[in-house]
Amino acid sequence: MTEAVLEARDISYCYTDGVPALRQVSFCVEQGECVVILGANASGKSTLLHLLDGLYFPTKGSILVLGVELTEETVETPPFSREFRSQVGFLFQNADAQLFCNTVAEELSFGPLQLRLDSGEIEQRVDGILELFGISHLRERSPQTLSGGEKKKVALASVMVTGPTMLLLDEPTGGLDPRSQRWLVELIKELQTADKTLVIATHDLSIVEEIAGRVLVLSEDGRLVAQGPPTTILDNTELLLSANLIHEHVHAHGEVSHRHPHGHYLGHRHPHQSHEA
Amino acid sequence: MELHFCSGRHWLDVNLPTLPEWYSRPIPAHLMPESRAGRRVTLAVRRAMVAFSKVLARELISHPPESWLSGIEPRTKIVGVLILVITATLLQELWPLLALLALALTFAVIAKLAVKRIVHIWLGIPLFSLAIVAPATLNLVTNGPAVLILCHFAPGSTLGPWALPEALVITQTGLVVAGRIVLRSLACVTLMLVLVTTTEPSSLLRALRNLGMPRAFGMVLTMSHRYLAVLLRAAEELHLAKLSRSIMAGSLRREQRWVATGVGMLFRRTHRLAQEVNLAMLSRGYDGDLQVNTRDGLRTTDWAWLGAVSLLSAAFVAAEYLI
Repeated sequence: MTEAVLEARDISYCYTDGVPALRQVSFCVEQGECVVILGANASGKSTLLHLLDGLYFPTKGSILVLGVELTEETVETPPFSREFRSQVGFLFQNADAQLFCNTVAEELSFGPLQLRLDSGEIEQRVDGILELFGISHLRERSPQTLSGGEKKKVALASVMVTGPTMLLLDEPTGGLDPRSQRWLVELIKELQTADKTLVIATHDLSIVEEIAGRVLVLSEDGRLVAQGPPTTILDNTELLLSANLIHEHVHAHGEVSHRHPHGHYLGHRHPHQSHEA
Repeated sequence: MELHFCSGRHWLDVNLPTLPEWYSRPIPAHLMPESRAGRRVTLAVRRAMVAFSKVLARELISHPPESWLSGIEPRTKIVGVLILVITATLLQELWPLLALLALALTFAVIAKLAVKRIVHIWLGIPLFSLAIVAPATLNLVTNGPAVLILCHFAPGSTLGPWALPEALVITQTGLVVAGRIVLRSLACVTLMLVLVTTTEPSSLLRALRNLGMPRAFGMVLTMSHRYLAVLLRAAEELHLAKLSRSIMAGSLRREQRWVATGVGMLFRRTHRLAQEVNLAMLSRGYDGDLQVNTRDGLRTTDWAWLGAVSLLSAAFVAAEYLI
């Protein structure tokens, strides 16, 4: 049996103003697994990733990463704090918040520097990651001069440069053009081949079946309403509708108009079951 | 409007939005703009923001023009300019100061600085410096041979507890003092202008960190530089969003109220962004003890620059004693 590297035990989280974001969520992630968290806007996906990265702490329940419970004390105390930060990488939804240094090169060396790697190793890693992402030409550019797609690439590169075994990606395809999106999907598949553990929060259904080993669905009130293989989840129209992941749609074929659920996964797929003249 | 449709095996109820009746009515005549008075205020705000945005874009993002000076390692460039600035503060005579100013101008030419920019700065500095040193030219502050008599005082005139001289005159010694201060400020500002225009802001900040500026202070400066443009864009978006929904021009008071609200909104956004940045730093291993890039080695040209600057400074100081 494969070992669970990440475990959420009945976690709930409320914002400081008392508004609940997550309610009694429990799941496990195994080594090398790619888990996609699906949910509409404000369903708590980003909050859940912040909790898994030890940036927020649950109001109730507990989170275990690599067998250690994440608390303010464990996350801030060496040697676990350093091991945890080097093992777990988090791509934020807002790339602008993640890119706070003056140049791309400085951005990429920030993480390794904080982990006290030696300068030769840092240089080697930065060069390697720039080449892998095809962004060597951006090396001395300021992040504020980059396009949205370039910012996303640099942000992901800055996370991967520390060599984490577990990656938490918050809306990784957000703001990417189709070619960059395809490139990212291929990269995620490559990471899976390299036995990296991935937890990806998204509401982009088009990439789910291709990358996910398992899918978790969060309802709009922050509950885990389903988990299972991607095909099972994506075929459950009622579930996707109730979680606000697909929408109802009206269109006409000549004299006949259809009303049916509609989502952009696997191309432009929808059943034609209701007909009105 | 309520519709029913089939989803798999079940029929679901869907509420479709219906536009309200008033939405299809024409805009009432009393809401149409008549006066252009308030528009001038809005336009002035808009122009100020665009101008500020352009200046920031130029100063924060632009790359220095290719020159021999832009190729010098930033740390040595800072040290070299600092040596020259200290020399300028040590010099008392006008001729060595003029020579130093000529050197600063030569650097500006080598750095391919736009004449317009130098003139723009030079026009401001003498006026500002003169306003400060003007009293020093008078015999009330600096005694010396009279150059120009401004007015005569009645014998025995006093100003509070002070007795006034026979006449108010501009003295030769006073002019030398004023000239020294103006020349010194011109030389220093030109040198600083050369430094900042031949070095990218990011390199300048990194060099300052490497020269011993406290790491936390350096990080704050780096982030201020990084996020200034982001916040300015947010401010511009706020303004444009307001502009796109304004039918009638508002009064000055209403505009002022809006600006105050905008500043508050911007502060909240800044606070949220700061929190996110903090979390992003923690996520990448920052534990309160900031680690920064190690130093690069110096090349022969950098040492040559430092040597030349040191020799020239020594020559200026020596010339002062010889004169």
